[in-house]
Amino acid sequence: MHIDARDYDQATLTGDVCVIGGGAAGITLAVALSKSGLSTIVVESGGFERTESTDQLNAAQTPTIGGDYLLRSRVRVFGGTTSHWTGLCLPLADPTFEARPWVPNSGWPIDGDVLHSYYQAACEFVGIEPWGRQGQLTRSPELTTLEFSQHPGRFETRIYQVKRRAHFGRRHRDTLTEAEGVILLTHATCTGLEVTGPRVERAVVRTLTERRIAVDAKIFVLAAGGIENARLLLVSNDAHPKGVGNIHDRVGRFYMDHPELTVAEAMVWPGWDLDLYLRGRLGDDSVGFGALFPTPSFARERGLLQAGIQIRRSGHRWGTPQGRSLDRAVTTASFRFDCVRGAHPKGACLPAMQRAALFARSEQAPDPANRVVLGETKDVFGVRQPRLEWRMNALDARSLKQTVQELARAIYRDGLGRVRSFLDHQEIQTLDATYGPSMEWEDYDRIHHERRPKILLWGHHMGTTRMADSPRHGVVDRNCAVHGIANLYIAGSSVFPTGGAANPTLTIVALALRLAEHLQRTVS
Amino acid sequence: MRSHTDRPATVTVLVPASVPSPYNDPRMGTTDMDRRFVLRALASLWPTVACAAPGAAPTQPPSPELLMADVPPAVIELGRIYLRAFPEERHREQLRRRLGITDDGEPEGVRLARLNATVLDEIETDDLFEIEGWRLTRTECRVYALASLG
Repeated sequence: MHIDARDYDQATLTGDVCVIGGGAAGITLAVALSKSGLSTIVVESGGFERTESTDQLNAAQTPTIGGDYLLRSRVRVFGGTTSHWTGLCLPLADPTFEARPWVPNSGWPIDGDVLHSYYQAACEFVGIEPWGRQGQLTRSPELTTLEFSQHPGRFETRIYQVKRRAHFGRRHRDTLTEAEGVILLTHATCTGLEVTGPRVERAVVRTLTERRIAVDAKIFVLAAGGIENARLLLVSNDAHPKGVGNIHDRVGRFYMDHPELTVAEAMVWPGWDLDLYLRGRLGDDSVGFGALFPTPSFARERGLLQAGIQIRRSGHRWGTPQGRSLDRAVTTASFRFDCVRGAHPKGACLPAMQRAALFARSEQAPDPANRVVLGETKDVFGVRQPRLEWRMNALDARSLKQTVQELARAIYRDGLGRVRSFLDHQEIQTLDATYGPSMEWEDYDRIHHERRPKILLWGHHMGTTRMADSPRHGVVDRNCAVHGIANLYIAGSSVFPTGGAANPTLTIVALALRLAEHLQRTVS
Repeated sequence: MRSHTDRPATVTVLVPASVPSPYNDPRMGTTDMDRRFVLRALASLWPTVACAAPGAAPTQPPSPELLMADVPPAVIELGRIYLRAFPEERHREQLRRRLGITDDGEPEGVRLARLNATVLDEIETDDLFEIEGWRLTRTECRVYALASLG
């Protein structure tokens, strides 16, 4: 059943489970619960279409990130950010779950084995091919991956899949509005939780038309995104002065994102098959691309975070206009040199070398100083807006720079081509950061011309209610239950203790499916 | 900084925006340059391709000097840039020694394998020379320098 909260004339709604947020996590959870016999209420701040007034509820302060980051990267509509999601999918690699000695605060209480079957189900839910336990795509045709013969085992290819038309709201609207036992409450903004002792009694819901509804349930699940989940815990401070689940001051801390930037340009010699990396097509009906990651053993040896480096065509934008003659000199001479030293592949016959840009998606180390706090300004409901304090720390910067250097060496060693890193003479921490879609073509040109990249962030808000077995180290336990609160759970990327270098949505879906299973057992 | 014994040493050299060379000729279109490049590349690949052909007798790979004998201006340009940064290496015999090129009849294959091993070692130890952001090994630059000395 669908209820538009603006037209709802009752003061309360009651169900078994109240899911706050109708994005990737909330919809997945609700769809899974719809088959369980539990009555579920999904509370969504937006409607079925975006409106300016609802989007304004996303206003927030982000002093270190441009492009109206939190205003534009979040979407209040049924479907949430899947409504503008590029559909990039990749499971988190196993090291993401491990406690890595060189990454402070790393380690999940669950591992890749626990999540594997949920990843399989998540792929089915999203509509893509499942990866095997070792990260392989079994149903895809034979794909040529780059194998470095000199020092093999330093880099490996992982394959992203792209799910087109992945708007969860459009795909699951009918399922949820027609399901028995599911109420989809739209235009309903949760402004706080009423808590008594260790229990959430109700969620307070308001509309822009000044209606107020109390949603009572046995179980509450926050699925409002990495910023809003933390904000709702922090503002619900009547019974818990520091906020719900925040006895140890963990809520909002350890915010992570995936800094993405053009890290280098490259000339790739003729004769190398880069289709998997450049073409973006895995088969007739599936789209994706390969990226090069440091292997787990190499990352351990060098103390690296994870990073996936994609090889992209850069066409005529490559190089600086002033330096093009020198660039040609370098590539002409170096190609011949690699032929002479025998490093070039035999039988090279392609008619032209490939100009490429190397584009990195990198992991951030969880850092308590990166955090969501409550700002001084308030939204139209009188609720304090979030403020995001974010930067790349020294480990993030050192790791990314070193990863690019190592990949450049591998490319040189194997006679693949030559790389010009944009990071060698940069203090990465001083680079400008902005919301990805706010970049214009001229900005991209400038990066190539000035060789000073911009850090792009795409709304991967992670870590603010991190998962840990102890409340001293995290906000939720391994079942995503908030420590110290009997009936409150969290779904979404805010529970990630580390974010790896994979886009978060597939993992959000996998964790939501796992949570649904847990809730069915718990409530029954 | 300029001593070749200071390893690892990455040296940055800023090159004038306009490097005089045929590649800088504004009258030359990209297509022409690409075609010329491909022809040169294919020419230099010929010994490798010949070796790989089924049933073909292996041909002797050319020495660096021989292959660079038909030197593209690019090589000469880079060699000059290197020598401007390291003028103390502007000696043909010295460069030949440092590259391990001798007149003792050593087979070319052995010589090239050693050259490649040295290059790999320099990549690993970061013994690189940087030209406008491109990082080339010391040995690669010395080959260009030798070619530029004619």
